[in-house]
Amino acid sequence: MTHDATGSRPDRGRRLARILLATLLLVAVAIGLWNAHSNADRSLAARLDSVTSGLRCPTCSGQSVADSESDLARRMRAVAAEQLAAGRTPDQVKTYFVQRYGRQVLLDPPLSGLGLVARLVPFVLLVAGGVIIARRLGRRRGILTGAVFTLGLSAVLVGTGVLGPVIRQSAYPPPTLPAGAAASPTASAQRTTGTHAALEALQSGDARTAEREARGELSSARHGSRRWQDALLVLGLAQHQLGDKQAEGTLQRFLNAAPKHPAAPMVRKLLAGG
Amino acid sequence: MRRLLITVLAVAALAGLGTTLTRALTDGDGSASGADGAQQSTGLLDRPAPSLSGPTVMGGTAALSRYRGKVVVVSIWASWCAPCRAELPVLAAAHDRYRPSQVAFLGIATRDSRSGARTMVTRTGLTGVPSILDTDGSIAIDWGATGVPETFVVDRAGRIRAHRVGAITAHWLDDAVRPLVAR
Amino acid sequence: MIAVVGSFGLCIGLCGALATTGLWVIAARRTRAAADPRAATMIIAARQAGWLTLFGAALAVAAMEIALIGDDFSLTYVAENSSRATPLLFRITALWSALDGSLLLWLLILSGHSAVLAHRIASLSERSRRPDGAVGMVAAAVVSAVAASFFAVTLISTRPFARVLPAPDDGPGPNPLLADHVAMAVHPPLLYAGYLGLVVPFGYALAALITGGARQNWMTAVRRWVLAAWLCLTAGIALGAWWSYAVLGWGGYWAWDPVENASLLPWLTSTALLHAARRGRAASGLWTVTLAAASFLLVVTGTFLTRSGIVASVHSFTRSDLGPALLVLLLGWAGVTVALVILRGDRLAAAPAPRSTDLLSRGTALLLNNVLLVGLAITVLVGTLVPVASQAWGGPQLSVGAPYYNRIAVPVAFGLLVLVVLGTIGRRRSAGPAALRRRAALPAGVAAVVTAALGLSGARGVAPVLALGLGAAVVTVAGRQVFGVLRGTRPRGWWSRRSAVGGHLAHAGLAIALAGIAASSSWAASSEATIRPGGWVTAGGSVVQLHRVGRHTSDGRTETAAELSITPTGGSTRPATAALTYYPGRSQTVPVPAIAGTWRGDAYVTVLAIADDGSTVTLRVSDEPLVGWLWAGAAVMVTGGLLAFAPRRGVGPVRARRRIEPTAADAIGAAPDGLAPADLPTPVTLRRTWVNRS
Repeated sequence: MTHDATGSRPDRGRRLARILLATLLLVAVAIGLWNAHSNADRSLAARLDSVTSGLRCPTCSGQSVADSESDLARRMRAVAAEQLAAGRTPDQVKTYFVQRYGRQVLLDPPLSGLGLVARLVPFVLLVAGGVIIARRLGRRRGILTGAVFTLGLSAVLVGTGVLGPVIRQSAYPPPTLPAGAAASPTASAQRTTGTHAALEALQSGDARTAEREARGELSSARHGSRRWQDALLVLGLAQHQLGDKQAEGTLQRFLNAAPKHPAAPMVRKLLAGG
Repeated sequence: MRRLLITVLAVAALAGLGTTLTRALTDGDGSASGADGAQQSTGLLDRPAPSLSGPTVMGGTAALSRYRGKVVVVSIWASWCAPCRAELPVLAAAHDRYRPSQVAFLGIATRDSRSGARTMVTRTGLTGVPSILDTDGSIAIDWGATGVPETFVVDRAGRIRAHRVGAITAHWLDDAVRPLVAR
Repeated sequence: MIAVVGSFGLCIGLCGALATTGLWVIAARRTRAAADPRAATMIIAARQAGWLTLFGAALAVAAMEIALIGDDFSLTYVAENSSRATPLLFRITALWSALDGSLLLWLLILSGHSAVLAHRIASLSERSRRPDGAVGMVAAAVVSAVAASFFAVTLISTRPFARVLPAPDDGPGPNPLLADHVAMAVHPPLLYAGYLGLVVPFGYALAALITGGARQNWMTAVRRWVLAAWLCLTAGIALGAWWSYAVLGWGGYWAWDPVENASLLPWLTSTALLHAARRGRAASGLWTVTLAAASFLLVVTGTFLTRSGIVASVHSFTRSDLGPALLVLLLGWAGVTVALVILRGDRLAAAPAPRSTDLLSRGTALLLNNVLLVGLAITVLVGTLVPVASQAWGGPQLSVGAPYYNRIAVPVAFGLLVLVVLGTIGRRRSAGPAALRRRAALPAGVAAVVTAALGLSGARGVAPVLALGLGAAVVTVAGRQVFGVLRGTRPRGWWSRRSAVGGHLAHAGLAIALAGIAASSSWAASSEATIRPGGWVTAGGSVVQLHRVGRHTSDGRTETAAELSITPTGGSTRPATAALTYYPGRSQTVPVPAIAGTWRGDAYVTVLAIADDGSTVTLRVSDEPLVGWLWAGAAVMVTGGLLAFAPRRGVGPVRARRRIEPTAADAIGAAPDGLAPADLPTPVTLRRTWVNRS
């Protein structure tokens, strides 16, 4: 469509109006999507649902823990809800169940062996699809479309987690409910905070949470108290696991503050080993 | 050339599919999972046992940590479970048979009321074995149990070395406990 | 006596199927050898043999039904799957409630397809005997060969008419889940009709490969078979999803269960086939042959997975000896297909490059549609087989479930919605970017308005908001096209143009269904609580109050019912009953859900447990927004498919040899069956096409 430089006023006005309308709509869409994204349900119920729909009920024929009505599934939901309420992340809760029921309790294939094949198949298909599109549509546009198709959908897949996250069966002892938890579930909810939570996080491999919890404990505990020493120890171990350069300093502070702590020999060995 | 490649690929794919499905048909019965997908082995095998403590059915308290250095047989049961009624006398007899300095027995009464569990304990003669009350079933889940009865054998160092779903026999118990005692 | 009749019927069926195959092969060879007059007798004989096969299967089914209705417990099958107390309807449906009997239904429908195809091919051949007609005959031969192989498998590996002596007085009845609801009478036959409808395109695909049928437009002839099968599959799958949600209390409508995947796979490939096999010589190329063959092979794979017991599924039959036999059947036909494709594939016409060079044309959209659908199908197949393979090769046990499939299915669903819009507004020969922009303005605007409105009003999550926006765009373009067609029709009415409307209606239905799925997956809320009579539970915007707990026993079951008042989100309060039904004969407890819904969503209540003394009830309440849109969308899809099933305007049976007049409607209508003016075949090719349309 060609216009001469001096398009008639009503034409220009209409075009301007259309562009304005389009921009307005685009802005509204952007704000709307951003709003929807930030409103995304992060409540306990939603997190519980995301955890339980990724777990398989061990005694049902392949149903997920979220869907199944069996007694075991109900109990697993209750345990998961309790742990989430106590502050654990969905990944930690999944790790908890994997440690007890084996890797097959996860409804997501692992990142090794046949599971890796399953996870890679969509990418292989995307590449094949891109090649097919490129060949069918002719040289220039075909290659462009094929590339956009493959890369675009690959990005979407990676973003939604086709290649992760990885839930490992940890080498550490399984995180356990503190003593007396069976008698008083609410009591256990109170106790899995602070140093306990930090220690459990450390044992399940989640060093970041451990660090965060330990720092919280350090700030709230009385300086030099037993609780403070424990928190310092956990902080140092967490930093060490994360490869943080401050780890050495923290652990040394711990040794200076509590040379007779039962964990001191282990820490000394750790510092000596480097 | 291209046709040869495609032929080879196609034949390989068909052969692979055929072999896989044939194998799935023939040995589906003997594997670790039954045809209904029910799981048969715990994820805690050869791993440290979860902590275990709490009030018992008969009114005291018990804890797994008290038996450190001994082989411990942990049995999950419930009064409403028919195979458990057959299994608990076996446990009680084994408790009498083994020396308390070497082998200890601990029970978990899961999803049960105190009165029902108590009746079961007295009826089957399991009074010598402390059974921890697990009303909401969270302890059973902590141990990776899928139902009742389930039995775990913990070695002296605190690792789970044997696991069985379903009622145990004295024979199975002996086979599981003896090597751990000797070690 | 009945048992003998039934077994005899199966034998007749097998012999009939073998005879049909042989006769069609001979007829085809004689026809190709330039109009041999003896071919006519062969064709007549083949047609009769086809009816004989159907008669045999019908005899077997009739025998079993008579035994079921008449409570003849001397047959093992009746003794295990029926009882005197079962109502008549469920005694009839007990035919397909267990493995052996369902095979009889399978054979009946399969031989029905074989007989109908034989009849049509014979009728066409009577009217004009051309060497090209051999494709149809070879196709009929293939179909009856498939039927023969299934008859053989049934006779060798199962014994549906085995007898038990002395005959027991009564039986335990069918699985209570399968004797509860009238859906049992509709869902399996509908699903089987869908599965087996795909055997005809399979036959034509192999026939095209065997005869090197590059010259004929065989796919146009077959397209209606594909559409019919697709219709039955869509309806069957939707009904199954509704049944598991509303009646069986399984908590959801789709669980990516291996048997459910097995039904989805042929649906995906047949949808791809419908879009690939649209018109012209490209429709009969190697790609459509592959799709058609793959669809039926996936059906057989699905049957194998369901009946062999190697997958863990809530749907699967008990393990039986049928597994190895079905595996041999599957590998046999797959091997034949692969061999034919490799050896004869180059004889088929290569699909010509799309004429339009524009990126945003319908041709591109169709290509991407096929890529996405087939890609999803392959992924679902891999995901279903990986746990089987891992177990078979002694590896660690794997589970593949909803997280894995959703990651792939959700982007594909979005992609398909976008492609519908692009394909509908794009033309085969684009009139230029400006025209495209004009056509795109309205749907883009609608999508933007809906997305923005939802997002700004506080809806949660990007995916459902986008899904609803894109869905609105699809409904807009579909509606616009339908409106254009209706407006351009002569005063005779839209009914004569219904086939043009059908495809757009199906697309709109798909968009509505996907919107329902997106909303009910992302915005669902559920809660569990133990309450006493008088207490209430809330979830999302729904409120459920418990009034009473009652227990009553009747004919073989004990039902403990919780009487409730349910208030769904934005709806009025209404009474409902949720129950736990215990069947002592099978030692099985079945939950019966209570559902109260509006167009905005359902409140879904199940009883998890009831205290022994009836004092407390543990309820699970789910708020499922927009789930009704899923059923509505499926219904619209099926309606659209039914409309598209109509013969093309101006084209009827072979006698109507008129030229199609291009009208304004054709110029506007972007219907899947409509012809653009420049694409009209010449009179010569037109006649040839009609002759082969069966």
